[in-house]
Amino acid sequence: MTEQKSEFLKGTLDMLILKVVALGPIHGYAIAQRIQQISRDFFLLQQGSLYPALHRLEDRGWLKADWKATETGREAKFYALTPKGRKQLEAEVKNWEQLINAVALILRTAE
Amino acid sequence: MRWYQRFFRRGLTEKHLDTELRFHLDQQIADYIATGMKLEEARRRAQLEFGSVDRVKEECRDVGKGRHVEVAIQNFRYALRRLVKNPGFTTVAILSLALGIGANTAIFALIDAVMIRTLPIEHPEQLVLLGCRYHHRPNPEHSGYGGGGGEPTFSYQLFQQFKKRNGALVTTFAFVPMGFTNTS
Repeated sequence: MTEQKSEFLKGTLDMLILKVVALGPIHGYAIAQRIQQISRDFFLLQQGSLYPALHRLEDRGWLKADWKATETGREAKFYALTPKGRKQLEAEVKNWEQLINAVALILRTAE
Repeated sequence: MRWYQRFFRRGLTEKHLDTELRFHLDQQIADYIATGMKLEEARRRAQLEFGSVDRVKEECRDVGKGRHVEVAIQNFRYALRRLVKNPGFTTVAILSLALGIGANTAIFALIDAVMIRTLPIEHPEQLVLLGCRYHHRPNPEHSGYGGGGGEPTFSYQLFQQFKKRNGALVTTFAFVPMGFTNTS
């Protein structure tokens, strides 16, 4: 990931993780894969930022974790959204939309 | 997870963290193999991309540490604000604390002087209390001098004999416990 993208991701990482987890219980590896696939390889999530972020979100009560078996029968830590996490996601998405609208307005009028 | 649970389950948390990261690594290796990579190459590449496992673990462990301090400070401030807003309660609370601490200190000072501190003599550790066990009488349960050595009461003649024939100790003295009566 280039320096620029990584800075860009940092501010939105929590929101992106919450969004992906909102689709259903999912383990860390799949979260990284999903974000990479959905963003068409724009975001390549490093483990060094993914796992601390997951643990932080769990600590704040936005995610809850459960150990479950995967399709291959291995135990993995599955993350799921809590009601508190859903509220947080909604608030962050709202903030994000306001932010990009404001940025878009400035870019358009500045031409 | 509450902080005390975190404390008691530290070992478990550590194991979970290890399992979680290992799962990620193995999954990545499996995916690389699925794309036709050789096992060794897949493993090397996954390791390289993962970077330092210990660093990731360290960062996961640090989660929430600063926040607990923050919450503690917030709680402290909130407590102070409430105390200022409620001077009556604050006064009562401070007075009861002062009384409690004062009473404890006084009692401890007394106990320290009477029971804990050694006697103000040159070699308090060499002090012995003589006692006598009588075969025809059951031993008193508590002689009142903290010893299990029988009755420390002797006739004056016997005391004089002790004093005269004392070869083991520097000196011998006797004492009489005095009761206090309030006459005023």
